[in-house]
Amino acid sequence: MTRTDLAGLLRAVAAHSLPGATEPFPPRPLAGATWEQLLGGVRSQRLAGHLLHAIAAGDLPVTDGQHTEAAELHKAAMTHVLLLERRLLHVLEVFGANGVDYRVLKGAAYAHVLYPDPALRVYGDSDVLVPSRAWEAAVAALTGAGYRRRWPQPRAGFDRRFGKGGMFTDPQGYELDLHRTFVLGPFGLTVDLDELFTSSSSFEVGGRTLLALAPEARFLHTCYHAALGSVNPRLVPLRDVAQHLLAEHLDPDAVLEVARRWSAEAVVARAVSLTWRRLALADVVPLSVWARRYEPSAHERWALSTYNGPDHSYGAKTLAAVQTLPSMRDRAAFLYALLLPERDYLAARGTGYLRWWRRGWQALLNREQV
Amino acid sequence: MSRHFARAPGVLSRHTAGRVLLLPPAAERPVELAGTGVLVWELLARPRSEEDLAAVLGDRYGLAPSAIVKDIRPALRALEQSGAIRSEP
Repeated sequence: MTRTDLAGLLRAVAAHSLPGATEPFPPRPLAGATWEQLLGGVRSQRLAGHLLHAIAAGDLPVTDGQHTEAAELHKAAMTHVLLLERRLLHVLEVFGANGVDYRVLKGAAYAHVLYPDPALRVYGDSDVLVPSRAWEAAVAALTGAGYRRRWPQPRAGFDRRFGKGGMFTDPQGYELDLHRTFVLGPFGLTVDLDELFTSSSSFEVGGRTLLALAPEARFLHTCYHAALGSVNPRLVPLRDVAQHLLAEHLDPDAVLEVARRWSAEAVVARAVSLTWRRLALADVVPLSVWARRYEPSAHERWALSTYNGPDHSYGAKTLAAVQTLPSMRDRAAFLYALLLPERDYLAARGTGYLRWWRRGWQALLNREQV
Repeated sequence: MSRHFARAPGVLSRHTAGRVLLLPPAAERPVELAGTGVLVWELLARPRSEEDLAAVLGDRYGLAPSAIVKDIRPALRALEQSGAIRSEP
């Protein structure tokens, strides 16, 4: 099987049951080696729920052995998800006891609020957003509950003002991504973070009601993740984008109104275009038409390039972020923290001041070349 | 008067390939239900007596409830021991 065939099969799985999905499934069970490749791709793309659904619906013919393997893959994924869900409940209990407001993000929320059956959405860690003003309280509460932060912040107060968030692990090794905003770099600094906590949607897990972002903000966050999270995003965040637009019936005007306020129209346009292209969707909705026609400005193209361009390094996003900060005072504080970070910040990255400055200088040179 | 069974609070669950995985609060790993166990779990979305469960299952499988009670008793006991359900007199 060629790489293109495998990509087509994965696309078919990722887009299964969406209106307008055009990628065909094979008419008969795949040969052993091809099936193994598909299973590997499904595992790494976190599509086990959609694979099992495609098989159960009779759209992907399989042998009995292949059905058993798909079921085992899904069972392993769901076992992990249930254990993550339990840890998430514990984190939210800790936050509740410490008066920390929150919104559950990404897979843990999408499984319940976006998909008809939570078993369709596989995820590998938990993501929770907290208000900037509660950042220190949230970190202290987690640390007190036995969580360890993987990377320290450059200087005291940096995360609350400028950071994306931090990664924590609990004593059993389960990961929690604590967010203050959606992404690093320029697009993460223009989100109205206070607005995210003025509304919500809710879902139930184990008899408890949990809070996620309100639908429009949730869709926009999905777009940030799909468009900016990685140069070559997994298919599952693209499926999340499509699921929002084809199954959730969002008001496109309300979405674009928020996107404009957050200077995120280019992010939405890229996420939706990428989704329609990679999942080969034929159906059109108002936002897919808008996304196809959207022309990013020179500034937006430059900002996008720090996430997807030839130089999409941490340094590039950092330099771009400086130019997005609203005041000279913020810029000075931001640069000071990154030029002279505390020693434990560098030590956690296995580096010292000289190498750190050299890397920063290189990022600056790369930006100029780009 | 027979005991009533109900789902225990805080049990997490997922469907997978005709089965259900349940993670009770104190369990280290999920418990897997298949066949009738899945139906029993679904029926316990609201508290039910053993006789009530047997009547619904008997109706479904065309069997006498008295025959079903004997079959579901071990399953209910196992679910109770795992912490997924609880019973009240």
